[in-house]
Amino acid sequence: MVTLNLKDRASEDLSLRNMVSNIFKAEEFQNSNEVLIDFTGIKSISRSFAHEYLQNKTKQECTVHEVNVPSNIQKMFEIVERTKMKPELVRNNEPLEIGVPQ
Amino acid sequence: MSEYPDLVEQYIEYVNYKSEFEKTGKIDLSSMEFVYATTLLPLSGIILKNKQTYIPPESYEVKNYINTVIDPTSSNIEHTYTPIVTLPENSEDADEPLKKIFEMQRNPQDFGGISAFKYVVSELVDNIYQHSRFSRALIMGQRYDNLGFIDLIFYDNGITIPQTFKEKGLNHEASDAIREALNGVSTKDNNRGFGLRTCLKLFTQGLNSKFFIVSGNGAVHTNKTENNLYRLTEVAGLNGTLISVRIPKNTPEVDIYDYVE
Repeated sequence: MVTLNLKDRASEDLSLRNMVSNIFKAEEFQNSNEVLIDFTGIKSISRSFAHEYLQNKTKQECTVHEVNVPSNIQKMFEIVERTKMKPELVRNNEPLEIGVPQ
Repeated sequence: MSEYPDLVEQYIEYVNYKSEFEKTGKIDLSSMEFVYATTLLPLSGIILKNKQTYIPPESYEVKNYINTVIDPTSSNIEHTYTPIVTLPENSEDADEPLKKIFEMQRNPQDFGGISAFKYVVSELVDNIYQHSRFSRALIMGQRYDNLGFIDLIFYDNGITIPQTFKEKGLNHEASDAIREALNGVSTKDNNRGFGLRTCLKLFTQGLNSKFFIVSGNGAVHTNKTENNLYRLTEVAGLNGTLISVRIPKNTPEVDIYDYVE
């Protein structure tokens, strides 16, 4: 079993989807049966990062566990796992014209 | 009284300068007495590329402001503005610019608190990297203390939202493609599309902000209660995507989890 510190490998602010693939490319995932990802010091997470993380996690051959996950980060993972609905926010209406006077 | 909301008017001001530049080859700002960030950010590329034909504002304050804001070496964060932050083309190099953008939030009450600010910046920057294949992407923040609001602007010159939809075989009118994207339709996967949608919800419902997005030949302006779609003529269209958000000053801190879904 190996431990990977997320703040050192990525950032204290988990922002971009592309950060996730870099994390899971680490050799720890190839050479170990079990990887602990340590969330100590993580301050924020985007929904997109959380979604990408969960998708990548399920693709790993080794077992992946999270430790020291701050409550705000945990909440985002829970939202991503349960959400499916997207009620309409912007209504359809006839577009108005924007141009430049001749 | 103008027929368009303020942010739309300020985009049209950019269109007028661009149109004049396309006719005359000159970027003439000599009579400019004030400039909003929504006008300046897309205009900055034309100014930087055409320094020889750029006629700066006669107003010393406006001229100086433009020079400082568009100067990539400037790091003056004591003023009401933050110089334009350029995103690197490779997202692996984005951590430092993201930190610089996060520093725009200097007053804990700005942008509904640091969590809300980091959330919207992260999602909107991720959207740029995921979809636009840009060669130029810029972010700018500007406080208007006397007017009681802060503008936050994102611009990239990459693939537009209508074009992204077209590439997936979805032939929507431009404004409708943008509306669909704001509602959470993803061209990648049905389980995606929450980033832009939750930002819109947080801005308009959580922070009572105005939200304006232009992409290609379409645009949408929306706030907490109403929205308008716009069809842009060829000259008024944008080669890329611009998101401009006007956030009231001293917004109470919001819990992002009331809006993230």
